[in-house]
Amino acid sequence: MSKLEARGTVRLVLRDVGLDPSSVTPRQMAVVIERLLGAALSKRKVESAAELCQALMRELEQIGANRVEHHEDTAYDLFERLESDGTRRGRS
Amino acid sequence: MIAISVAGLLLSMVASLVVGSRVLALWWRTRKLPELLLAVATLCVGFIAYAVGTAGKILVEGPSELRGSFTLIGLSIECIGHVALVAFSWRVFRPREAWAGGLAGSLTALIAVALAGEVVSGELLRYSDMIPISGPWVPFGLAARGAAPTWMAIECFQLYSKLRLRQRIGLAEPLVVNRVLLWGVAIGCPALGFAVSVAHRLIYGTGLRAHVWALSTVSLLATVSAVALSLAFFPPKAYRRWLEERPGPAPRA
Repeated sequence: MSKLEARGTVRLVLRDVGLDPSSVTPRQMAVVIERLLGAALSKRKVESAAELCQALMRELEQIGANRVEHHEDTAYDLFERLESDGTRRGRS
Repeated sequence: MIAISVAGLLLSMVASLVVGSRVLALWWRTRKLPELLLAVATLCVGFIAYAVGTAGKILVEGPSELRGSFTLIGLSIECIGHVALVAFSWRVFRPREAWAGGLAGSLTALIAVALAGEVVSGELLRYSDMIPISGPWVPFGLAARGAAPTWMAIECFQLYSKLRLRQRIGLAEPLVVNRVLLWGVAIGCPALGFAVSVAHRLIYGTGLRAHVWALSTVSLLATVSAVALSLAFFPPKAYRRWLEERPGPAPRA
């Protein structure tokens, strides 16, 4: 698989779960690798897809560890907050 | 039928007042701009503008200057709310995209130009009387203001479709995903209401009050909007349970 194909595969997997490559977070990427990328690579006849995913996860962990996470307030974060305190308390 | 229609509009006003006040209280704690913009939009468009405008129509029987003043105050408050809604859509959904900033600026300018046109032409009074319009300013103003909820509704539905996909792999909570849909419906209904108003003005020239069917349509939209807004902000326990227990779609292989 060429670099271009690999990049395209990741982009397609991200698109399938409604994520944008330009704004995906390490946590989201980890879930995608763990749950979807292996299957997507196997489907494209990539050998040892599971090992590849494990290696990617290790790299991702390193990126996460070295990165100072500055949390950007996303639309999802806002809608998560848009709830009455009463119903939120009832939930927790 | 008219009483039912008025009840629908009143329900929408009450929902806007309650939810808008609560979002304002939320802003007081978080001090984040989106909460402030949404509170201003909900209160100004959904409650204050309606209240002032309706007071002008019902209470003022005297000279047209006084009615005009009421209408101008109501319409100005509505414009502030719509500009807040435009800013909300830009800052929340497309903060990094230049075209969205351009769109927000253009819509704000259109809303301001439309208001100025309505005032200068005197067509402003057509909101409070039953005389047919005699120029393009009223439908233009309605269309310019209607673009604000339309943009936000489109953004909400787009985000909803993305979050539905994320929900499949546990990257979004069902309650939040549903809340985005409900806000889309709550804001999309007034957008449709504006479309009905523009069409009605273009066909008949008068306001919606001239036809029961038109008033009923907008009232029905207002009722749906009020229910969606209330469910979004005050989801009852049973509703939350239903959302959380409902089987989500399986991830694509």
